[in-house]
Amino acid sequence: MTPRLTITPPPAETGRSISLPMVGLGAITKLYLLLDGQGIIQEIGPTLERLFAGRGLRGASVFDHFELRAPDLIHHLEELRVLEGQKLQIVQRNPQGLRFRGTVMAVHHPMGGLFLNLSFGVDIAEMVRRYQLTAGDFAPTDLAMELLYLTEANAAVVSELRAFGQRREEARRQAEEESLTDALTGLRNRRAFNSIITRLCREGSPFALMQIDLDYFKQVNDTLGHAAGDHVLLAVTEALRASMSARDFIARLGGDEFVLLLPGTAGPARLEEIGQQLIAAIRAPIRFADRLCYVSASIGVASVGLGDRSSPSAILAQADEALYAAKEAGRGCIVIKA
Amino acid sequence: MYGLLLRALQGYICATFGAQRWVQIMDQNSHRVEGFEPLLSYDLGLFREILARSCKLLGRNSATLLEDMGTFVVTNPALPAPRRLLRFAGNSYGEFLLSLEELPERAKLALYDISLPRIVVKTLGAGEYLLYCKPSQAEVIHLLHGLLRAMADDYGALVFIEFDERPIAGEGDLAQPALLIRMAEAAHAPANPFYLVARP
Repeated sequence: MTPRLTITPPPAETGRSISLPMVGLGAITKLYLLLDGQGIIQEIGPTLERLFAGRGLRGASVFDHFELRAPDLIHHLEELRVLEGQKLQIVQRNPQGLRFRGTVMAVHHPMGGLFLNLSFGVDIAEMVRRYQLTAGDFAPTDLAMELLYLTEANAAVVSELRAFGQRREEARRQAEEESLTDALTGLRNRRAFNSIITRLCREGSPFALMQIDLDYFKQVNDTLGHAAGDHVLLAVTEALRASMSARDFIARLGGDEFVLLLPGTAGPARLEEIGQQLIAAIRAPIRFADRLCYVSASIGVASVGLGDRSSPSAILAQADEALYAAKEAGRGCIVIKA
Repeated sequence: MYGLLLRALQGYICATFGAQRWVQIMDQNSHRVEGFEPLLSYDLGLFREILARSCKLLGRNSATLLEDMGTFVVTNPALPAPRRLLRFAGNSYGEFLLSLEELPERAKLALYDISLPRIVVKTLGAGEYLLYCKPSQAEVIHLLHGLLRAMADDYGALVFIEFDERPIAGEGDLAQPALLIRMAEAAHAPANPFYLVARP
């Protein structure tokens, strides 16, 4: 005769019990322990058997292998018996500490005692991964598969959302980059310049502002056309870039107007030296098709000391004034206002 | 749903015909060049428009294109999620077929506001099924045609799937696009491995 498990009814309802063959129990649950009257494990569900292979579960006391709480620690079988139908927290006594939830019920069995039914808790994905569980390790009615599906679907959605966020961020950054860049030269534009000088002024950082205006640029445009003009602007851009350090900021404000922001406290002599180098570099003839274009540069400098609280517009006006003076002085000159 | 479909179309065309083709399709349409976002909402009209342009440019009819796209969605090694999520629905091809009726709800578990078409799977006889959409939608049926065939291979089942347009008992007298599915052998070849937790 096959071993059977009879679920005991309360005494008042004698006659209303059900009886199941032990082998068929796996269709309902695959995670169970059948305890005898002493709390010794007599039968083990097939999936639990896989999880605890070689750990000598059968024949050992349930309390040796598991810590049971509801919510207080349970030490004896008698304490467990009165918790029938309640939710139990069951943790493997082992460094791995597999966590289950469970419930207990009294049953009729030759070895007779308690039927402890378990299910996976939040560790389910970890257990499936570690023990390579398959769909067959879960009872058909178990929602484990749905939980695993959900975990994965959720991960897919989140990663899609993250990718979406990244694409948006990239598009935003590109739009911002474009809005701050001068299309012809690739230098920063007036908007970028305004934002930088405003920040420098707010911080009270020392810096020098060099306003550069090309001389004879109009002649190039008028005699050789706009393509030549654009070519000259690109060549000047190259010359400016070549003499800049990474800390310096350079922008084209429009037309043949460039600005340089030099962070730090360079003295007038040093600024003069930098300016003269720029003028010399820009003065070099620029080849366009079979013609040579000659331009030069006038530079007006405003120097802002540490803690100087001038407004951006005051500093710009100062540099403008210096530039005007340089133009008056005969072009190809630099004038510095401290 | 059309966000997912448009993104799938984009992925399929880029992978199969090259990104340049996709750019051409989008150019014609003056749509955003960066393409479609799977989680954003688009409407059926836009999907049909892009699909029609794709078909024209690639010289394919829409049934074939959608069928191939359905196959691509579950076989693209770069994006294993669709195939995996579908495999969770059943341990066998038969279980998988029946689970398609739960597809809208399963999708909602992951994305609460997504709405997928309701799919009906009727058992005609042993191993014979009739699948249709409610309300009927030919595009989805063609897409499922390719997808179901690829999933049959994945499960190792020998399955014959035919597109058909017929009135369906209990669904009015109008002919509706449907799939006739005949499962000749559930375990014809070894199934592709499916681990319940994806391996890195």
